[in-house]
Amino acid sequence: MAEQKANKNTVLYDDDSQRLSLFIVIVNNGLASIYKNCFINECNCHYVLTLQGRGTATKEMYRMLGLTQVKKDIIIAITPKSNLNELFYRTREQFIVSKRTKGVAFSIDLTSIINLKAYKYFMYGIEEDKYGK
Amino acid sequence: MENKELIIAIVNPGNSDLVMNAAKEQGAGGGTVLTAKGTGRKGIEKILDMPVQQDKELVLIVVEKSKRDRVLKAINDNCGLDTAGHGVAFSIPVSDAMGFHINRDK
Repeated sequence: MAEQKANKNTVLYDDDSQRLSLFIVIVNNGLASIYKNCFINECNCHYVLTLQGRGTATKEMYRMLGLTQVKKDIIIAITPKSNLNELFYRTREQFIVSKRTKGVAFSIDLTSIINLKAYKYFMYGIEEDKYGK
Repeated sequence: MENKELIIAIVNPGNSDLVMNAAKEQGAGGGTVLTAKGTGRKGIEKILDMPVQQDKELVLIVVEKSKRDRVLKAINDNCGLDTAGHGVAFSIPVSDAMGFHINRDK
């Protein structure tokens, strides 16, 4: 009961179609814009973050994963869970283009989000804001 | 060991201290700040009522699940979309963790 009361401050998820996920891609330095544009323009993502990082795996591991650089771009897309299949498909397509664009990708489900406005933006974007008041 | 959650707050540059202070008041132990670039679709400012600003700070905070909602609300109150920080915050599950000393009870 106490937990239910606390949860009134956060968005409750009723089913999978209402969930948000993080879709995270790690690729070689300088390739973030390719993925970012693809996610925003073709995959119905409404917000994407990009960070810079440095890989620390062994050379053997890099060879195995098909990665060639130590400097990395990390792309984090906040997206509806229903979008994940499309995102994985598109990302796999980019990985296949060449060895240079290869990377790793994974997703994590969000457990809660504060502020309904933010949730609606990540979920529906500007076009479908009419669904919520 | 109690289940833990990773809270991620995305705020305008210079507001990570506000986020950390709010979280610490609710019992969070500490956090990590990263810099990132945010990209939204055109019109984001209409929905979020915030100016388009590329540079962002990401604050990562691991807390016990029981404190998650309190910390999220504190972040939203102190650094949410209606404040200068224009922040959003959400949480993801942590499956295993080590090296955390989260002993503050509040």
